[in-house]
Amino acid sequence: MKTSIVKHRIEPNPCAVDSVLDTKQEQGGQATDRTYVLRLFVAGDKPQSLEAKKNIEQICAAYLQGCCELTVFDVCKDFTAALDHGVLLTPTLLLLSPLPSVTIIGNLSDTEKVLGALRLPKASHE
Amino acid sequence: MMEASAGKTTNKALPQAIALPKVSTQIKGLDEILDGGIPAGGTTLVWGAAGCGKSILGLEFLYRGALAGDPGILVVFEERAQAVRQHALTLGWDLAPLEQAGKLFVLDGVIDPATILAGDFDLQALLAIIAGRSQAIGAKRIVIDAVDVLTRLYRDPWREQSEIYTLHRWLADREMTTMLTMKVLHYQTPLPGYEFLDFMADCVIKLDQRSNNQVSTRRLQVIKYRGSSFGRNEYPYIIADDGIHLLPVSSVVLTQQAPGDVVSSGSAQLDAMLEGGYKRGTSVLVAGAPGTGKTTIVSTFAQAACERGEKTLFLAFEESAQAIIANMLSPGIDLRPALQAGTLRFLTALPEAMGAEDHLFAALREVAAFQPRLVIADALSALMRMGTEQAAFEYSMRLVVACKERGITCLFTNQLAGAAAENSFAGVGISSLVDSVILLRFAESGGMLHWTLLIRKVRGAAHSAQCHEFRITNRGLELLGVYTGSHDGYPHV
Repeated sequence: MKTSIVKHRIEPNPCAVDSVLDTKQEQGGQATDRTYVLRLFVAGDKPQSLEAKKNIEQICAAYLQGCCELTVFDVCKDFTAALDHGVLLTPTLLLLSPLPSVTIIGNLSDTEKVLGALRLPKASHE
Repeated sequence: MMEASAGKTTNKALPQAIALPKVSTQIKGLDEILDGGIPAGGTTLVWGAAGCGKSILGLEFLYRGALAGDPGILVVFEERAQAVRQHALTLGWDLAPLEQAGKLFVLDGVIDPATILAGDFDLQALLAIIAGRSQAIGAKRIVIDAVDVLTRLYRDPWREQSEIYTLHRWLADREMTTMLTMKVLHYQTPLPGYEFLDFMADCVIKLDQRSNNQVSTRRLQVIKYRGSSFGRNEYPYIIADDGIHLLPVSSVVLTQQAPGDVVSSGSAQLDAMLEGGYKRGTSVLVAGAPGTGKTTIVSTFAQAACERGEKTLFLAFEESAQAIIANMLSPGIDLRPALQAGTLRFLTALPEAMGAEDHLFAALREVAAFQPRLVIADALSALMRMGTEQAAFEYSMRLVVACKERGITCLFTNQLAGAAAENSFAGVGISSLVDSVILLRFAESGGMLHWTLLIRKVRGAAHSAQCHEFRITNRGLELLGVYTGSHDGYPHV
């Protein structure tokens, strides 16, 4: 499994952005209608947050290869992104695109539930 | 938390007594009950059933605090921030300028019901936002409205408890003066699983709303206040058009003014029986069976006061102002010039129209605005219909006390339903509250119906002990001399 992590991408609150996982670059493509725009809000290195980050990265790699843009925000470094998105609980994963948007709270350990929420059929994992 | 045995301020024997630092709640009457306010840097829990005004109490604390220059944060989980701003406007509170001035921050914490739970989580983002915003605006006070809506997401009572404790400690570490509100069911205790909140909080305030004889009343009670004395009774409160008002009975200190000079009742003959008239600033009860002329006598007093240029407030519970004015024309009492000149003002309301607290609040507001020298309440017996005997008694008592503090003369009528009722008002003695009692009765003697007037009591002054016969003519009250007959069988219903 190979993923590239690009730091300091230009985002509304660059200082809050912990990391960006952009699987599109694997295929050198532009963001399309099928691109999954995800935001993960974590709290420093709290165990739940590390767990959530690990879990979503695995899901992205396994199910959204080439069509996923994941941005991780650390609320401990900057709370404004959380405030803007109405996020009060950590970890929180937001699916902003494709619509309808989805909010998932928790460490994302329940993979089946996360896949269902993200409307990703298990079968796509081949 | 300071577990000061200094709580009892009367205990002078404790040398290290340190007063607990407190923050004013900004709510009229509540600080007296809390002996100054809620604990500074501590957690106050406010619980009550739906509709009893928890959110208004929290919002009023922040709004008035912000107006006074103390920034605050409001976190709402049940209502959108925009709805909170709208509701605030209905109470005349415009939050927008305070938000723009950095005196208030409203955090919209409504969780989308479509949110999916997938694993464990914590409140770190909430804490980070509170920390960031409170630092930015310098807020030392926070209200978290319906905190249980958030923590219920855990669906685990133990987890919920530990997260609320975490929140409580985190806020306490930052010396935030915190108010948490919490729903209860059935006006009783916190929801099952939330009893720990009462132990956790430094101060616990219970709000409830109940109905007595179809009239709704609201009560506030302080259940607990760590390290402080507080008023332990249930206190009636109302939600008026500008916020919450408490009317604490037992915090009323008897600072009544001494009775003033003697003035005429409006009837020279009655003045003679009263050894000159009645004293200003005292309270006079005119009691009698229906049809004995109670309203005529108080209207006589009112007309005389208005002719002296003294403002008179007439609280009418049974008749409209127009009806009273029209009825009084037949005994020759014309109140219209006084009404037109603005020296006489009526406040009329059916007793059932609202709870006793609302009635009292309306009366006291009018007393404060109009500043009368004479207040008439006709009739106290109708107040029973405000709900309970107790409510009616409290209304009368607080009106008397409020008037005495201002040196205002009080004149009440009371309809008696039988001989046994002569000494009592609605089962609760009111005659001990008033300074003078004028008793009007019927008597049948020699095949004739007689009306008699007896001065039962005048506190601190001489008065006639004789029972006088009287009648009401087209020139008003006319005393006919001492009545020597019997009152057997009268008054009756």
